[in-house]
Amino acid sequence: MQGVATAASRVPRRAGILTYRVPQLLVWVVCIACAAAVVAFPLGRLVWQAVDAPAASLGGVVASTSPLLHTLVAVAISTPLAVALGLALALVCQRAGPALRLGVLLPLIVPPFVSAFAWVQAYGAAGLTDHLTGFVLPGLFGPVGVILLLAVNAVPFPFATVSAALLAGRTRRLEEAARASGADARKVFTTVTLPLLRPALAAGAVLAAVGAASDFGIPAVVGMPGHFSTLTTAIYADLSFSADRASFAAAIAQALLLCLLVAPAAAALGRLTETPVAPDGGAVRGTGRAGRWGLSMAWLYVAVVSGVPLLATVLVALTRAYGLAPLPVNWSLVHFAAAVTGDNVVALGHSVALALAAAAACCVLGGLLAVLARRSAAGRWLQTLVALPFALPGSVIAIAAILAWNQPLHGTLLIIGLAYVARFWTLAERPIGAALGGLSPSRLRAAQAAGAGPLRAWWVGWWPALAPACAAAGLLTFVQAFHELTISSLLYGPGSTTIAVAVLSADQGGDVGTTAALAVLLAIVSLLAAIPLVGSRRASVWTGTS
Amino acid sequence: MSELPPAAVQCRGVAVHLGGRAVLHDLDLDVAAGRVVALLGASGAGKSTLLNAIAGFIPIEAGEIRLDGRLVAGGGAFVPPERRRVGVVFQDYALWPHMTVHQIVAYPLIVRGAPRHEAGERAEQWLARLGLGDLAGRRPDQLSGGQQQRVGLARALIAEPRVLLCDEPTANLDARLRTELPGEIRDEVVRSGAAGVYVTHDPSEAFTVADVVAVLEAGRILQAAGPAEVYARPASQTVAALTGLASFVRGGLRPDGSAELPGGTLLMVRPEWVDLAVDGGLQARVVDVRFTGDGTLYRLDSDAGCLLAHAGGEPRWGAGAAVSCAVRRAWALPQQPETSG
Repeated sequence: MQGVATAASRVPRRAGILTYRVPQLLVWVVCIACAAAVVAFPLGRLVWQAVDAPAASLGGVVASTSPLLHTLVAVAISTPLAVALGLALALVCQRAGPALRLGVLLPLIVPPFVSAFAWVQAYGAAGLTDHLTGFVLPGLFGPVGVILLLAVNAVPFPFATVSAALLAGRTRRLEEAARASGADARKVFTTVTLPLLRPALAAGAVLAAVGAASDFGIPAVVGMPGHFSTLTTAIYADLSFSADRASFAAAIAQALLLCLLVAPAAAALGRLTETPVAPDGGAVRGTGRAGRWGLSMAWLYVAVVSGVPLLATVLVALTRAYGLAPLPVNWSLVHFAAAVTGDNVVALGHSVALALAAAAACCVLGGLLAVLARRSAAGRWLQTLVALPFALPGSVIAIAAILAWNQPLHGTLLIIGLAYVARFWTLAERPIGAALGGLSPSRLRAAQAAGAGPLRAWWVGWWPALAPACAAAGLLTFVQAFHELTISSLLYGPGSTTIAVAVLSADQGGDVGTTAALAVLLAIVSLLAAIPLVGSRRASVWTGTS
Repeated sequence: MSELPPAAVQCRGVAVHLGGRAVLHDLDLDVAAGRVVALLGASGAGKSTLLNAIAGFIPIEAGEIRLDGRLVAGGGAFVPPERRRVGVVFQDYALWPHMTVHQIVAYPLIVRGAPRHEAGERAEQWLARLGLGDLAGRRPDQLSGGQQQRVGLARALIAEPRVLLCDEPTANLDARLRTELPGEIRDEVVRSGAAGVYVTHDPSEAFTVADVVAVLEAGRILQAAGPAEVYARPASQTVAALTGLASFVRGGLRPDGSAELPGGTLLMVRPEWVDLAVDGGLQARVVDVRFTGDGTLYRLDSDAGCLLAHAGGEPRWGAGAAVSCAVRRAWALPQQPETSG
């Protein structure tokens, strides 16, 4: 009995495998070293650059105010649009099945540049609706297209935060109390529902705004052809199309501007999302609030935003030559054949390798960090530091990576991989940390009291509960890294093209059929990997609000 | 029971389906104005479902519900909750976290278009009456459970509802409040002249609060009668088990209401109906002893079967002791094909 008592008392509140000193020290060393090398050093270089050469930065800003202005306008219009749509959809989908939820979340799963390309195939000139009804979305290439696409791509953020709030809170009960107090449906909505959802709406709005400001794929596909450049496309243009010092300085200035734009919002997010989540499982009862009409509107939305564009892309990919009617007689697999040969298959290999390596590294590092963050304040500081690269725009991370590692690593896969680890580390840490937080030490103690050693107790008591979280973390990192465009488009060299970059160059080269085939392949891989994530009701992992 | 005024709540043949499953079947219930009916049953019996149907939170499949004679549900009619003149007290309080106590209590008047100052004054009166006068500026999360539920009660009553619906209002409260609050609710119902429907799974709470106790199981009312009636003369073995401790033995009923053990009739015996250490009584063996504070509960094994006996004072016999007992009072259960004990 004495042995059992000491074993139990040696396990502190949230201990795990780190009961012994040596592994604990090792974990600290690994995490601090990686955080310093991958996160702190590049970001520090970027800040130092800004402090060191303020004149050059200022010059860059003054020289080009239009990207800043465009970004501000795009964010200012697309964010309220996204929040309104996200709120409406979340209310309608409150009792809807997983299929509709997946449909609404599709823009989050399909990479933005694929969505933008798909919209062009659906609603552009010579697109699907042009073929069928003669409808062409006016202004698709330019501000209208950019803002609309940024808005529908940001809808999943407020949708997810509001859905989580509806699921976690006792919204239904509180609304019933208002009904019984004499308020009609409209009054209940304005006096009870909306005020209750305010924190979730604010969090969703911040995420949507940050996403819209940081996005590169959409303005690259529909903005640049219409000469509507945003900060992210301006950085891309400065770095890709000219090699002089001045344009690099301009790119740094734009990146810092983007930082300033996004940082306060990202900082506010931590506070906003601190709403306690206490799912009272199975409280669902009665029918949905919006009924059949609302549900059909939601399905219509999914069809217009994702369904028709993806269908159009599939048809373009299947149709032998661009301009032919997308009918079975004209179908062939030539574009898919082109998509998986030559440079494209090399790019595909690069992306798979990068995604696998990033997922493996992020899972290990994320797990270690999650353990540290639950043990001490220093661990939580490290956690905050590591979360920074994910909150900042990808263009900023890419510039920081160039500043830090360009000398030996210019244009290699390694520099892209390092940037991916920096960016996605926190993404892997979150689900694992959440799972760790939900574990009770009594499971460990029970195993130890039954005679298991520390390692075995951990294996029996905690691992079964942690394994799904680790799988989710790996899958999430893999998908994000696999179709990542912003960072790789700024860092790639002749020998390190990624599949996303290949799609972008095929699109810019006007090779519509191959682009469509590549886009379809990308969308399929992303969807396959995402379905288990969405199915497990952990939609919040996508938005980083968990 | 004295003669009842016309019913303020009338349920006729009410059936409710939730998620494709029948939860209530062909259910009849009357509640008179100024009276309280307790819906007593185990969880899942359909008590809260019936309450939600009366409030208008869920639709009914068949039958009809009338409030003050007005058809509110059934026969193609459906009056939404806000136009049923009901007040609801919720198990989890359901206080709006973004409002102050004062705003919450005034809300039912404000949404019905009362002038702001008038609503404010009435809210203050109600808060003072329920001992919450000092808390008007607080938010719900700054209140104790009991205070929160009093705020819920004030909100439910301020607009003078015709029907007060209480859904296990004491389930989350501590033991002292569980005995206090039902009495307060009863007083308020009587004073306001509303009809009260009070859902609970605790028989003693149902007896304290109600004029009529309706015992529910599997979506049906098994018996609806005065508390003493339900307790002493349950309609079935199930009702007996849901309304308190009871033992079921085979015996013969004497004309004076006491029982002769053993015998041929199925009898229900409440623990306090058994006398211990009686000369010439039935010989029994003590199997288990539980001190309950107000007395001691013995589980006895006798030729007639297992018998629960409650006697005043501290334990006098230990397990294994032999004791003679007599059943002072018993109730012959109506013959039903029931086997469970």
